[in-house]
Amino acid sequence: MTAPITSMHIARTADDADRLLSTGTEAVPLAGGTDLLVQRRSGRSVPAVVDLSGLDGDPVTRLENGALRLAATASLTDIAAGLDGRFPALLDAIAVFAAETIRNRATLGGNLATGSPAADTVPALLAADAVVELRGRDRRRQVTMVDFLLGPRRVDLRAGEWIESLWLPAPPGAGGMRKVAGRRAQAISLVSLAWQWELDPHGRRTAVRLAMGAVAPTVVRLRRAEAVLEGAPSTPEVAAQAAAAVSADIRPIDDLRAGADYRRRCAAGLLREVLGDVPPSTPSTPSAQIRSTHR
Amino acid sequence: MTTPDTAGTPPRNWVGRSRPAVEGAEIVTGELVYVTDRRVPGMLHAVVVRSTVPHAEIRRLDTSAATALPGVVAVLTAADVPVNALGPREVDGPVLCKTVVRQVGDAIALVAAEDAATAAAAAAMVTVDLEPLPVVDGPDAALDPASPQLHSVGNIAGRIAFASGDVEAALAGADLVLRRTVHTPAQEHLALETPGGMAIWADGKVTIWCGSQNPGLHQRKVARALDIETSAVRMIAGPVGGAFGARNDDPVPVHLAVLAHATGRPVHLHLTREEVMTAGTKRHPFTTSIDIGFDRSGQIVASQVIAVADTGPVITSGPNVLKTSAEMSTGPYRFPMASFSGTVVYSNNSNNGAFRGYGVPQVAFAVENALTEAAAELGIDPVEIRLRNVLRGGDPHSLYRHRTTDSLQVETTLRTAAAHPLWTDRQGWQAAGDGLWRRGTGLACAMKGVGMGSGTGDVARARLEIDATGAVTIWAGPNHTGQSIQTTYEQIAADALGLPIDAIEVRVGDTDFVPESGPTAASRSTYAGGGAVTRACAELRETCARLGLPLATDPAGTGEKLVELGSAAVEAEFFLPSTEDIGLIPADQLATYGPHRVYGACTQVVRVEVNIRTGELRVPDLLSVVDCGTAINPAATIGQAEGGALQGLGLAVMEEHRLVDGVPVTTNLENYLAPTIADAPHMQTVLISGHEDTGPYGAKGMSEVVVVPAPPALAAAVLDAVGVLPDRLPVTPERMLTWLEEQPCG
Ligand SMILES: Cc1cc2nc3c(=O)[nH]c(=O)nc-3n(C[C@H](O)[C@H](O)[C@H](O)COP(=O)(O)OP(=O)(O)OC[C@H]3O[C@@H](n4cnc5c(N)ncnc54)[C@H](O)[C@@H]3O)c2cc1C
Repeated sequence: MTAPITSMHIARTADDADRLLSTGTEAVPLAGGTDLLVQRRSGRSVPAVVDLSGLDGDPVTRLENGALRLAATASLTDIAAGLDGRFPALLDAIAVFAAETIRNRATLGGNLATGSPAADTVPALLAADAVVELRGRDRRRQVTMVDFLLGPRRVDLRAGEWIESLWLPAPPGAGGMRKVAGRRAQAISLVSLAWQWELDPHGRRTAVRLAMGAVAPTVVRLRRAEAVLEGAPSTPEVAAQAAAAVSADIRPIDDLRAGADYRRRCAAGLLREVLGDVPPSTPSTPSAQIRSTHR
Repeated sequence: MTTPDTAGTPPRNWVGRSRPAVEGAEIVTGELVYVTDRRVPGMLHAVVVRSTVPHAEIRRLDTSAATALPGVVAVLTAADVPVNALGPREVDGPVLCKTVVRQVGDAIALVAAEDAATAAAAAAMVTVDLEPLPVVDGPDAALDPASPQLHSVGNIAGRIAFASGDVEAALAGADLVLRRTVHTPAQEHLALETPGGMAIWADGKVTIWCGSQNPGLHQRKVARALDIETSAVRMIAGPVGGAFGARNDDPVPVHLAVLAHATGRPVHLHLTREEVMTAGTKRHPFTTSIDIGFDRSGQIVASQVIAVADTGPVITSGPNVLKTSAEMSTGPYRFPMASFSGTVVYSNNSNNGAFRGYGVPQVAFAVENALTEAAAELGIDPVEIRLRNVLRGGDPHSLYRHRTTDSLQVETTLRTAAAHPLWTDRQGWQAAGDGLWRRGTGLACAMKGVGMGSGTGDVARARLEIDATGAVTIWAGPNHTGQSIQTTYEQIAADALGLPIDAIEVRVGDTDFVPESGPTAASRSTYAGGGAVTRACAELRETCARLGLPLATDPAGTGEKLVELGSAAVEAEFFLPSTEDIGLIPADQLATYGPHRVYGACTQVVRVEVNIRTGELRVPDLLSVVDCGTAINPAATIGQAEGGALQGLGLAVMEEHRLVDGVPVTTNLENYLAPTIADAPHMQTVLISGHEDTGPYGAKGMSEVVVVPAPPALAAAVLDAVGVLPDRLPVTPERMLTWLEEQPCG
C-alpha cells in the first residue's frame, strides 16, 4: 500500500518555492504529478511535497534574436499553445506525448527531472542546445542540457533546487520529432528522434542537431551522424552513411518494451526516414512476393 | 454512428430497434453503484496474501504477527476453509494454498481488518517460507517426463482428438500442401472494473455482491467451500464493469464468502490491477500447426490441425476451450476430410481460462492464414478461394459431419464484405501509400457456435410475474456482465407480450430470484436467455387467452384478475436445440465434442500501413460484416462488434501477457499494451439480415465471433502491404522489422 503524503505546501511565487524547498525536510517538488504519483504507487516514499503547479508567469517568453524561455512548471498544453508554431521539434514531441489529459498536467520540468532516457520532450530540448535554469534559496544556476543529464534517473539537481525554466536560442524552421512506441498514445518510447537543421540554397544541411531517446542511459546527441550530415548534400548515400554512424553514439539495452538489437535497427531506420531516405512505393503483388515468416 | 433499424416486416415495436442500455444514464453519469463500490458501516477490508514465486513448497506459514496487529480481525489460511476446494476435482485447485503454490499470485491467506491500510500492513507481516521447486514454464516443460508433475493426474489437463478420414493419404494427392505453425499469446481480459465486491454473513446465510458470468456456479462453489447448502448462498452478481470470460473462473466470490463466514462481518475485497494481471486468468496461449491441402482450383482437400495450449496451474476452462478449438479447426469451410488433435497442459505460468472466442481465435489464425497463403500461391483472389470452400447453412461440418443450421450465412458476410469499398478499392488504397508507409488490405472470416453445444444440457430459464397494476417483472439469465442483456430481454418481452416496454422490468444476476440459467458465455445470452423470456411471455399470453383476459389492451385489469386467481407467475425454460444430425460423432460421446447446431459468422476487412524503416503498424480502417440473425438491439450489437473487433486487433498487434521462467512481467497497464482510442481504426459494421428459426425473433449469438477474423485479416493485410505473412502474434514493431529485413521491400 502506498505510504501517505503527510505534508503538502502550495508555492504561489518562485520565492515561495525556494523557501519551501529549503526547509531541510525531504520535501520534493510536485508539478503535474503524472510521474511522481506513479512512482509512489511503485513504492517510492514521498512524505512531503511542494506544489509548483500554481506558479504564474507566461508559459513561453520570446526574447531577443528569437530566443525562447519556457516555463518549466507550465503544462505541456500551455507550452504548445504559447509556442505558436515556433520550435517544431518540441511541438511534435508534445503532440505524441501521452494523451491530452496527461498533457494538461505534465510539465517540462517534471519530464526533465525524472531523468528518464525515454522522456519525450528531452530530445527536442537537447537538440536545441537548451539551457536548464535552476534556482533555490539564494542561488541560481544555469546548466546545459548535456551536463544536466547524468544517467538513468539521475540529473544534476541539488537539494533544495528546482527547475524554473529552459532557455534556448532561436530554433530553426526545419525540425521535428518522431516517436516509435508500441501504440499511438499513452506509451513509452521505444526509440525517439528529434532533429533540427538549416537548409542552404544548395540543399545542404547545416547546423545539424540530432538527439535520440531510449537508446542510451540518457537522451543522447548523435554527434557522429551530425558530422556526416553537416554540410553534406541530401543524397541516399549520405543518409545511409549517417544511419550507419548512429550505432556508435547509442548504447541501447534490452528491456520489456524492446530488444537492444531492435533499438539499433530502428534508430538507424528512423534517421533514414527523417532524412527522407525512403524507396519509392512499389505496390506488392502477393502471389509473386509471398514469403511466409516460417523458417 | 448511425444505427440501423432491423425491425423488419412485419415491423416490431421494440425488437430490431436500437435502444440505450437501461442503466446507460447511470453509467455515464457515474451514479451506478458497481459491486466494488458497495460500502456498509462496520465493513471490514480484506487483502489476499499471494505467492511471489511460480512453484514452491510451503514450508511454514506464520500468521501470528499479522493476527496480533491492532485492527486485524482475521487472518485465514487453508486450515480455516471448511472445504478447501474450488471445485469437485483436485485439479480445480484449492481456495487457499496449503502445501504448495503453483503460480505467482496463488492465494495463500486472506486478511481482514478494520481498514484497508491495516489489512495491507498485516498482509505484509504474514511470513511464508517457500522452498522453490523446479518451474514448469510451458508446454515443452510440461510434456517432458523429467519435469515435476503438477497434479496427481500428471501435467496433461486434457486431450481431444477426432478424424473424419485418412488425412495424410488425402494430402498426398493434393496440388498444394501447406504445413505451418502459428503462435498466439496469452491475452488479458482487461475488464475496466477489477474483481471484487462485498459479502455479508447473517442468519446462517451468505450474500455475495461480486461480478459473475455464472452466478449459479459460483453459488455452488461457495456452498462447497463453506460446506453449506446452496440455498444458504445468495450471489448478487452485478452491476459489474466487464467480464469477457474473466468472471467465469474467478475465485473472488469464494474468497469473499470465506471471509464473511469467518468474521461474521461485512467484508470488502477489491483486487488491484497489478493483482489481477498477475493472478487472474488470461486467454490460453496456443501453438497451432496446420497441414492443409488444396487442389489447383483452391478447393480444400483435407486438413489436419494440432493444437497445444497452456492452462497454467489449475484446470479452469482448459479442456472446454480446446473442445471449441477442435470444432472450429476447420474454419467456416466445407471439405471432405479433417482431423484435429489437441493437448492442454498444466504449467506454473499464469492461469488461463475462459476468454471471449474461447479457443477459436487461436486455431482460426492458423486456418485463415493458410487460406490467405494458398490464395497467393494459387493466384486466386482471397475472397474467391473462401467462396469456393465456404460452408453453407445446412451443410455437414467438415470434422464431425454434423448438420449446421440453415441460418448460417458465412457466404453472405463474405460477399457483402467483398462488395464494400474497403475491399473493392484496395488497389487504390495501396497505390496511394508512400514508400515509407506501405499499405495493404486483408480479409478473413469465421464462424462460432452459439451455446454450449449439443448434448451438454444447456438450458436457460425465466420467471415472469404480473402484478395488479399490469406491471411485469421478469427474472432471467444469463446475467448482465457489461452488455446490458436486460435491455435485450425487455425488448423481447415487450413484443412478446404486446406491452409498452416501460411496463416491463427485467432483473438478472441474483440467485435468490433468477432461476438457474447457466453462464453468460458461448454467445448464448440473447439466444438462450431471450428464448426463455420469449417462452415465459408466451405462457402468460396462453394463460390470458385461456381465461379470456385482454392482456394487451387492459394489462391492469388482466394483472388484477391473474393475481386474484393465483396465476400471475409463470416460469419457462429454453433448451439449446441439438444438431439434427450428429454425423460421425458416437451418440454416447455427443457432450465430449459438443457440436453446435447454431453458429454466428463474421467477415472482417482490415487496412494497414506498415512503416518499412521502423516496423510500426497502423490500422486506419476495419469493417465487420456480421451474421447474427435478427439483431434485437442493433446499436448494442454494433457495440459488441466494435468492441470485439478491437479486442481481436489488440491480440493481433500489441497484447501479450509475458512471463519469464513462470514469473509474469507484464503486470500493469504501462507495460502490457492494449489499444487506446488513438489506436482504434475507424470501424464500420454491417449487420446482414437473417433469421435463426430456433432463436428469439430469429436472433442468434455474435459477440465472440467478431473477435476472431481480426488477427488473420490483419496478417493478410500485412502480406498485401509488404509481402510477409506474420505467423506469430502480436505483430509488434520489433517483430515486423525483423520480418521486413528478412524480406526487404526496398
Ligand atoms: C499515462 C501516462 C502517460 C505518460 N506518457 C508519457 C509520454 O508519452 N512521454 C513522456 O516523456 N512521459 C510520459 N509520462 C510520464 C510523465 O507524464 C512525464 O515525465 C511528465 O513530464 C512529468 O511531469 P510532471 O509535471 O507531471 O512531473 P511530476 O510527476 O510532478 O514530477 C516528476 C518528478 O520531477 C520532479 N519535478 C517536477 N517538477 C520539477 C521542477 N520544476 N524542478 C525540479 N524537479 C521537478 C518531481 O519531484 C518528481 O521527482 C506519462 C505518464 C503517465 C501517467
